[in-house]
Amino acid sequence: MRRRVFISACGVALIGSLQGKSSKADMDELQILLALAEVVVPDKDPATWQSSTAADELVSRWRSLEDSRRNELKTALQMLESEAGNSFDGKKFISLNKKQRIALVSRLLDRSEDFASNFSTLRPLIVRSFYSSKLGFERTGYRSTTQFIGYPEHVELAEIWE
Amino acid sequence: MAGMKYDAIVVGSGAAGSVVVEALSGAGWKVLALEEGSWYNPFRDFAEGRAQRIPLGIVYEKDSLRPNMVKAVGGSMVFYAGVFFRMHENDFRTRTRSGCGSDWPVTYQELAPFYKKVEVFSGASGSNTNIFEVSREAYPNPPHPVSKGSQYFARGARALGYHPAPTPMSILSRPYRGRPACTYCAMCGQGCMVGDKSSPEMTYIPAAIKHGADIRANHKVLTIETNNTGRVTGVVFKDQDGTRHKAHSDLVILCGSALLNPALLMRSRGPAHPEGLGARSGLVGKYLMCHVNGRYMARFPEVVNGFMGISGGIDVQDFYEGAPEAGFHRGYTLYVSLLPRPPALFADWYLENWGEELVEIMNSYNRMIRLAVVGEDQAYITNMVTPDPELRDEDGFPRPRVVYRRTENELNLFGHAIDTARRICRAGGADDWEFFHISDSSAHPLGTCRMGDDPDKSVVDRWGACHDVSGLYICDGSIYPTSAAVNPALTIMALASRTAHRLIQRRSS
Repeated sequence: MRRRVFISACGVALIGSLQGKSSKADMDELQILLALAEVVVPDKDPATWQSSTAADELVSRWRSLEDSRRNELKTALQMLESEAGNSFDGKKFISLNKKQRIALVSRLLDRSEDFASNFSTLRPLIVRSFYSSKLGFERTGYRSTTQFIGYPEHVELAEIWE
Repeated sequence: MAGMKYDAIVVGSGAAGSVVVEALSGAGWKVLALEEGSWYNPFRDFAEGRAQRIPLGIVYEKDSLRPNMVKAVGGSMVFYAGVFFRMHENDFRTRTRSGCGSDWPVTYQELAPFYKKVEVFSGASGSNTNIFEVSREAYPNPPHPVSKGSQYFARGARALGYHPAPTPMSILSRPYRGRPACTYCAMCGQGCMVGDKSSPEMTYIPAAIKHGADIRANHKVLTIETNNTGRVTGVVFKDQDGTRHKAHSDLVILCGSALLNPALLMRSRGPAHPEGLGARSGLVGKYLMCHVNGRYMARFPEVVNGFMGISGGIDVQDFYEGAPEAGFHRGYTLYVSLLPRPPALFADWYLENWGEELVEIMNSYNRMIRLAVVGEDQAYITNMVTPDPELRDEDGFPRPRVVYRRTENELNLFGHAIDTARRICRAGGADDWEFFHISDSSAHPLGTCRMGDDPDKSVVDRWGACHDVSGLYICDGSIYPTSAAVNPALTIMALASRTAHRLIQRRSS
């Protein structure tokens, strides 16, 4: 049931974000990315990487990557998928449980330089997405300190800058 | 512009240049200041995130530390943290007192009036309770409130018998001379949009403009010109449109930083200076220093919100003069600074973890404090800024190439500082999580045009006058003979103030 919600949420995101351009392959890759995000930044709320400000942020950042860079990273996602199939009786990465996903990512990091290289880009992408989101701020207790009501009374010096 | 004559031309408008421009223009001189960087409007550009750090175009040798600075009206201080230490008396006598480095040709007592002058102009805040400093007068403003993280740190330091003191800051702790007090928004590093940080664009530059100084942003000095007798005659510079001009003066004051000064001196060749300016000693570009910069982070049982406030809280200088048998010369300052922020930056840049390990660390982000280490590095002739043999800038000049490698001395110092930080934090109640690293960059490049009495062993004299070029002065961080173990802004400004005072006195007499 939870998996169905997950796919549905991704589908909504994709339909909104890749309107007219989406392919099943694109959608599959995004699902793998979000499943990887659950491994990289596991949250206490299991729905976080299905539908939250963090998931939105990650989808947005993924979409804004240059095509060439995104294609490179897709190879890492495809490796996850392929390794999942080989190691777990043809299962997809998104169908694995948490423990299996972690084991698979760890194994690939140990064995594949290509995967490790792409993971060094995917990890920051996911981490930045999560901890830049409203949810990430909540989890860390961070409060933005840049919210100013208005400029201070500062007439004499300010005049110089006008 | 062609044919325009000035009493003085100042190259650069940062910590040193801004002070010189203000002082000379305040004395009625006709002053031109040429700044390669842009002119930011703090109230607009910093608030809207428009200010960009423009790279200096430095080439770094492989395995070299990567010191860097900022081109802007106001210089790197536009984006600096605001820490405003004086050097200690012994810093000026390291050869005599500690058997390492070189004695400065200037004493603390000679510089003290200029420290005070700059502190008063800037509205420095602090407390004269640091027992390691020479007895001094009160700061113009009281120290800032002590954050919860700093309280933990101070408690730990006292428990170990150390002597914590409020870190002096050039950030207003109360309204001062028409500027507001700090709001503790923690945006100092992005440019202060409130106006309380006393970086030059808020203090010396506006004052210089009022005095009538001609300050030009996006103007790059290409060469310093000299005549057949070797005397300075002016500068050739490029305006924002790329048009070349010459401005005339028999006094040029170079304040372009330890990283950029050597390149300008070396490419400024004239009939009497075929090897470039200041070349007599062969030391232009040599003895680059960068401090031993690093971070230590610890975690406490309760929320301390270490990402808020200012980048200087409480400091400890108990190992400023070194530590017996520790395998390094001189010592370091430890002070409570701001956490890397926002949290995404910390999680991405500083940590390599993922999974539960990452989340466990990040969930305690608001219980962490960060300490800064500023350690004295030794001046090695092998650390330098030289012209790159191949790479050229847009004007066809060789790009500056930096070679800086730490030795065991610096690494031992850092190790000792981290051990001290760890012991203090644990004594203050921190748990056993920690994060530390030695920085591979530095915002404190120093040396490269060292000051000294002997023309064969230094580039400038005790006043910043170039030994072998009449009319050429240098008065920024490049003239440091040793680096000391405190942030350099205040000392650079005090040296500049002293040089300007000397120039004004000489002209008057």
